[in-house]
Amino acid sequence: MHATKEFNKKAFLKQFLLGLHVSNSVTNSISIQQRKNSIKLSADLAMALARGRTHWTHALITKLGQKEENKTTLQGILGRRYEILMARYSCPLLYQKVQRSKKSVRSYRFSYAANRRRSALKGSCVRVPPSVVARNLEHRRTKVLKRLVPGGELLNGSSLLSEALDYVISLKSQVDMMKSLWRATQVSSSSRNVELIPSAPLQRKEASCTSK
Amino acid sequence: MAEIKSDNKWAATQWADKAPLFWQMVFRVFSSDLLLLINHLVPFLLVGSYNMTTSRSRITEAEINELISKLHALLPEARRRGTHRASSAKLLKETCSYIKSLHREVDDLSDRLSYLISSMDVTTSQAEIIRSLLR
Repeated sequence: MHATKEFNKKAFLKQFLLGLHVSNSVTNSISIQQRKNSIKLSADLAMALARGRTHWTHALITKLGQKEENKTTLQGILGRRYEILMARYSCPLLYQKVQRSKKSVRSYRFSYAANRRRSALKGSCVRVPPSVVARNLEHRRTKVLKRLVPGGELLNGSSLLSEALDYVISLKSQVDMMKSLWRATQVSSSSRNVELIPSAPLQRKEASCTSK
Repeated sequence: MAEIKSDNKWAATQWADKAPLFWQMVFRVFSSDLLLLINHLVPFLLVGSYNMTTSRSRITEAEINELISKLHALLPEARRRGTHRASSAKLLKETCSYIKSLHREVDDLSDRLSYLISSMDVTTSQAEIIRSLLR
């Protein structure tokens, strides 16, 4: 049903390394915090671009593009594609709709609570239609998940679940790729620091590569 | 015949001169409204294809069960004995905590990577890029 992330590892790695390279060359003498933010940005962007077009990638790229401090890095990474992507993914009314739905949910909850209070005073049973009850319950249970998955506030039910599944798969492979990249960097930097015989660390690294 | 032809030609040139201006004006007048309309509709176009109605969700309940079992399989649960642990509240909570832990790991890894890369110089990072692309 869902495309596996196996095919997209190369695309992710290419995009991520390009982003790292750009952020490295653009910002040579800045704080570690900023460098970390740019690394995280390029990792998220690479994950979203490698996955293709799903709802959460759309929402994630929109979110990344809206922040002011990311724009220069994004322009450096994407180059000419930046304008095309921003035109495709910029949709300010999307987030206005989210705020509207939050208000309506709050009014639902308020009326539900008021109804309960009123009927508790009267002593009779609650006069709320079961669909509203079900919807409130579902919303309360999926509140955290909706906040975690990008673009999750607009989805409901099974679509939210499928998007969350896709997002979890992509996140897991992103973490795995970053871990292996970090291990490779660590091995190379440590081998350089120790100044061993040049063939030995390469052999060790090739062995570790093939074992992976 | 020649007169008609010349008339047509004259009309054609007249129209050809005015046409771009005309269409430009039309486009300018309607483009703002069109853009607003499209901008207004896009969230509905996007969201409409993802929202499922109740009748459709009843048909695809097997899909929901499949999704739930897939999520269950993904989560790193140490004690996965029976298949009847899939209560939806537990599943949702564990998914949320798993996503949060993955976010934290990404944060931590990007921290470490930034530290490592800042201690490397440019030539070594390029060699590292080439090496990891060969994987």
